[in-house]
This record gives sequence, structure tokens and C-alpha cells, in this order.
Amino acid sequence: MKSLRTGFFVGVLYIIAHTTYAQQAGQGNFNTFCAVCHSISKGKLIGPDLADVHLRRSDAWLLEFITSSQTMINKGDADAVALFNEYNKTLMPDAPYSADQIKDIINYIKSKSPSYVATTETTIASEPVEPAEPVRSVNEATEEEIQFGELLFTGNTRLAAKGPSCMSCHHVKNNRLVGGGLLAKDLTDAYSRMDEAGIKAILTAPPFPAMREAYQYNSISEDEAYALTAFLKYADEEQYGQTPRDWQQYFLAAGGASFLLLLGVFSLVWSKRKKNAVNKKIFDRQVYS
Amino acid sequence: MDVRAQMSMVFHLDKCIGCHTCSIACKNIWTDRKGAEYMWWNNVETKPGTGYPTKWEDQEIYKGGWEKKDRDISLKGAGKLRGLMNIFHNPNLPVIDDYYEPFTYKYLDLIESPAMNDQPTARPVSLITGKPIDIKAGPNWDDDLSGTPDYARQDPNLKNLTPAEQEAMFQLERMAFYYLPRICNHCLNPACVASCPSGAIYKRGEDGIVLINQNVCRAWRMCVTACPYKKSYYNWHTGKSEKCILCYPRIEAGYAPACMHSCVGRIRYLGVVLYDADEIHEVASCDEASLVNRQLNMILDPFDERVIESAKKNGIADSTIKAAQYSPTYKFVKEWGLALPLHPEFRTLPMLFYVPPLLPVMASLREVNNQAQAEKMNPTAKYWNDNWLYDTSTEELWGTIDQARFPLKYLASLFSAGDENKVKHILKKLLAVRIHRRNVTVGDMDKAKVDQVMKDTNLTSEEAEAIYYLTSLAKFDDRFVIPASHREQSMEMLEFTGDTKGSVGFGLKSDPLRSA
Repeated sequence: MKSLRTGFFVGVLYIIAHTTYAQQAGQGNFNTFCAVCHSISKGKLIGPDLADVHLRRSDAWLLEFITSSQTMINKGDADAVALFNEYNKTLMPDAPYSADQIKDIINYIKSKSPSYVATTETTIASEPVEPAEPVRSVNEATEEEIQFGELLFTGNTRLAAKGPSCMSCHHVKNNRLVGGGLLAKDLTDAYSRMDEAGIKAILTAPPFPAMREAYQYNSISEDEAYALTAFLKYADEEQYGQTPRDWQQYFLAAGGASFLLLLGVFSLVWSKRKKNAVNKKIFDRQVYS
Repeated sequence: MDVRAQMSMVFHLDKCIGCHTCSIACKNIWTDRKGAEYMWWNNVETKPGTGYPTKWEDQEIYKGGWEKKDRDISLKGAGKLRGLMNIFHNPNLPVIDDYYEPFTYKYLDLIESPAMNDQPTARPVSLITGKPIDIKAGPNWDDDLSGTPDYARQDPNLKNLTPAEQEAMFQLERMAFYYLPRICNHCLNPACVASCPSGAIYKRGEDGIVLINQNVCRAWRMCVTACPYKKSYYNWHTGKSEKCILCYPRIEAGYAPACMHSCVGRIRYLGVVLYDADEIHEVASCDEASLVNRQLNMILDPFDERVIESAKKNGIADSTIKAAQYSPTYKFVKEWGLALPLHPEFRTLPMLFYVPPLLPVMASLREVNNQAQAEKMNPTAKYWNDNWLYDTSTEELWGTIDQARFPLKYLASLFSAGDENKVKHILKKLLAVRIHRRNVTVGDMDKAKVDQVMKDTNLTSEEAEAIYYLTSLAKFDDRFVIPASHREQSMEMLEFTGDTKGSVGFGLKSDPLRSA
């Protein structure tokens, strides 16, 4: 009997502790992974505002979408496709979390949503709001800053924390640049697609798996993010009428020329090679059947 | 002094009858595989002749072996820089026709042929392409063609002979030849090991056998170029190089290598010698004139206390030292000084020694008037009406060697880097043993003459008897003195032999396979 009671209390304790822990975990993961593109009740960023999202979609749908939005879009889920189209066909990266962790995140969003806050009787002491730092808009960026952003993008100036330069994976169509990498998205119209806040957020806390991996230990600083955003804005605005030189054909020609050169060198080096049998004269003399 | 043990061979050329049993024994055991058909790890050549592969001794063609440069040596064909420059095309490799294109016959055509007016024929087919071929050469084409001018007269060893001397060798009446069986020399300064870019070739520490690790070989084929004896072969099927392994699985089990075990003429001797590894570089790069002597001096006296002590310090087992003391190789090479290395001028310090052949030297040929002799013959008897005398008499003692129909220069080019006196000394000794034995068994010789012979060659009758015994009467265990391979020691490197039932821990390797 005694053990049963003890068991009950332990169970209760565990549930309480677990819920609190889960909420904290949910908050942490939301901030690191989701907050880059989404806000709760603070308006739309790259993705939609998530306030009261649990009233708009079922929990199961949310879980599936967060786990892998691309799978859902490919399957042809009407809501998912509609969302994808609405937000400039920007893919939401798959969350690197377990189902339980994602549920924690959904719970966290619920707890911060206006509908939930209104219905709960407990009044949560509002967190002290930090006085908003006046953020300088990239519209005010000087020519030097755009120039600096370009240097950072191409890698001519190295990122302060020694992260890889943007150009190794991304391309921007601009006369001032040689073609960039094709491993990740073309960033020519990134500014129109994602806006200033979105780009800065992605740069400082990358949500995409490859990019997160690349900048995990050498993140891009605020100043660098500002300069890069300014450069991307400039590139976006100037993209029409840009006709960057196509280096591909030059590479092809250079490859062909060096192939011929090497062929020449090798035929010279190989000319002394022993090609025939020592007894060739004797063999040649033989009459074959 | 860095004493190491080396499995070393002596081939007694006077005893070789050129039957190729050794080659067949080796082929049946080791190279009867796809891609290895053309390989003869053991082959027997007819000398004078071009050999296998054709003219292998001519390093201007194949660029094998070492070259002396100032006080150092470097590989002739595949040194570090040159090897790297040529690594993708390897300019000096023998082509398949330098060996021969291996073939078989379509024997089934004979059996399955329908009844016809003519006999069916088994056509030769290539073992490489499987298509019918015209046979161009074989592994001992020189012999198969009875030494035609195309082969015998192209022998690279004739290079130093005057045209008159060469011509004399090929007169029908003066014609002589002998056999030269060859296997890997398991050199002390192997060029194949030095040339391998992958580091796949190594010389075994315990007995000096040179092996190619088939897991490491990357088919660069530098060893094929580098070996001046052309005893490393490329297997075109497996894409790895292969060479004579001195039947090490047999040696480890205490058996003689297959070629030696099967030798009909019992020409082969195998034993351990101890040598000073500190001297390798110095000796390999010394002047050509002193090369042979210094190589032979590297071999140490296994009875010397200091040598034994150093050998023990190097971990050489007592049984190996004892085997070195009974080694027939040591006796032939050092004690009696009867054997010489093949082409020491390649500077690889080969560890296979040859007792030069006496037979063509023993008799001289003179022009005499045979008329009186011919008249005595029965009119129906067959005789050649010529005026040559094949003189085997011992009247002149050493005269036969000097006027030998087989020029000493030729043998010197093979065995002593051109030093005729070295070969002459050995031939004199061999002849002295024969004279001694003739005196013992027939007793028709002048006592003073026999004593003179023995004195000239510094032989005692005991020594002559010992040489005679090991040459002619030696039993299996006299010819092959193979030390225990001490496999229990290698086993202890893999596992702790003191393990008891119930003990725990991490094994290093799986249990060694035991023979039945």
C-alpha cells in the first residue's frame, strides 16, 4: 500500500517536472531553429506568424509539416502547397528534432498564443521588455558597406570568424562577380524574397542544415551580416541588365589546349619507350600461316 | 657488425643436365594460374644463348640493376626521380614477346574430330587471347632451336670477345655449351625492393627471402625494370607482380624448395650463411675489380666467437647458427672458394652462387694428323676423315684450361665481372679434385704430378675428398641444411601462449592455422 502511494507521488512529480522541462526545451528549440523565420504575434517574417497556429491546423498536420515540409508538398497536401506558393516557394528546412521535441515546440507556441494566454487564469508576469535597439536599415548603407559586403561575399575579404565565404555555395548574377557556386540557392533575388530581417536572421543563425553546419563554430557577425545584406539588396535591385561574362567556354577552351599540350609533352617523353620485342627482326622474318 | 642470416643457394653447373625438371616442379606448384602462364620463376637457359627474356643480361636494353655514381650507387632504370617521371609509362619493360606468348594446343580437336581422310591437327592457341597463334618463341627457345646463330651468337656475354674468338666458339668441331638454371637470387641489395613505389617488396628478416606483398602491390611494375635478372614478373590477370618465393612455406616446414627437391642432377645446394649487413652499402658501391671479393668477404665465419655473439645479439636462433656451420653453401663459397655469384657487376649482391662448369674446359681440341690412326680402322667401320684431336689427357696439366675451347673470358663475363683469374682458379681446383680422385680410384698417374697439382691449388687430400663427397655423393640432408623456422616465436607475437583456461582479455589475432 505504502509503495503504491509512493509510486503515485513519484509519478505526479515526474509529470510536473516533465511538463516544465518540456516547455523549456520547446522554447529553446523554437528560438534556435524557428525564430529565424517565424514570430509569435509579432507579424510575418520569412514564414508566417505562428500565433494561434494550433487553431488553424491540427497537431498531427503541424507535426508532419515541421518534420518534413518538403515530403508533404511532394505528396500534394493542399494546405502545404498553398503555403509554399504563398511564401515565394521558399522551402522550410526539416527540423532536426524528434517527434517529442517537435511536440514540445508546438506546445510552446500554444502557450505563447493569444488565445491560450487569454483563457488561462494564471497571469504570467510579462517579461521585462528590453528597450528596442534602433536598428539601422540597409537602405542607409553606404557604397563602402556594399563594397565590403561584396568582398565578403566573394571571399576576397575573409569573414572575421573564418567561416566559408558565401560564393563557395551561392551564385549572384552581377557583372562585378565571376560565377558563384551552384550547391545552394541562387541569391540574386534573395532580397525580394526574404527581406532585410529574413536575410539577416538567416546569416546570424542559419536554419538550413548545411549552412548551420558550416557556421556552427564561426558565426557571421552583425556587421558582416549588415554588409552582406546591403550587398544582396544592391544585387537584387541591379540584377536586370547585368550580363556577367560566361567563363565556362573559356574553361573549356583552356582544358582543350592543355590537353593538347600534355599530349605533346607525353608523346615526347614516351618516344623513348621500348615498344618492340628484342627479337622483332626474327619474328618479322617468319612466314605466318 | 650487424649479423644477419640469409638462405643462400649454390648451383653446381657441371652437374646440370638441362632437363628442366626444376622449372616444371616450380610451374606446377606456383605459376600454373591465369596470368602467370608465361612466368618461369625457375628457368634453365642454354649458354651461350640470349636467355629468357631475350637478352636479359643486356642492361642497355632493360636498364636493370644498380649503377655506380662516385662513391654511391643508384638504380639504372627506376631511381627516385627517374622512377617518378616515368611512373605512368615505364619505358624499359620487356614486352610479352621478349618472354614468349604462352600457348597450348587444342587437343580436344584430336578427340572430337570426325572420321576423315587426313589426320586431325591440334592447332596452337594463345593462352592470353585464346585465339590460334603462330608460335614465335618458347621459354628456352635457344635450346629448342639448337643454338642457331640468331640466338647463341647474340649472347650479350660475347661482347668482350674478339670476332676471331667468337668465330672459334661456333665452329662445329669446337662447339660447346652448358646450362644455366636461374631463380631469384634473393639479393642482399635487391634493386626490386629499392624500386617499388608502393613499398610492397621486402626482404624477410629471418632468412633474407625477398617477397612481394600481394596486398600492397599496385602494379607500377618498377621491379620488373629494376631486377637485372628479370626475375620479377607481372601477372596480367591479377594486376600484381610476382616472383620466386624460394618456396618459403616449404622451407618453414623444413622441406627443400620444389626446384631443389626435384633436381635430377642434384646440382642444387641450400643453406644458411651469416653476413655483415653493415657492409652492404659500402660493398655494393665499391670498384668493379674488387666487387666479387668484397661480396664474398661479407659472408662471415659461423665458427668465429665474435660472429656468434653478434648473431645472438641480433636474435638469430642457436639452431640457425648451427645450420650456418653445416651449410653446404658456406663450404662451396667460402671454405673451398668454388662458387661465384652470377653477374656481380649488377651490384645487387646476389645470394645464389654458381660453381662454373668445367666440362667444356677440361678437353682441348688440336689439329693433328689422324691419317695413321684412320688406316688402322676396319674398312667397314664408320669414322670421320678429319684431323682434329679431342684431347682429354692430363699430360699438360693446366694447359687445357688455358687453351680451352670455351674461352675463360666468356665465363668471367658471367661470374666474376670479367676477372678471368678468379674463374681460372676455380676451374683449376675442380680439375685438381678430378685428378686426385683419378689417382685414388684408377691410380694411373704419376705421384709427383698429383702432388704438384694439389700444391698448385692449395688443396689437401682431405679437402679434395670433402669436395668430392659434397659434389658427387652428398645425401639429401647434406645438400639441404634448413634451420627450424621457429614458428613458436612468431606465434608468441600474435598471442600469449601462457593463457590458461578461464583467463580473460583481448586476443590480438585469430588462432594460427595448424597443420594436421
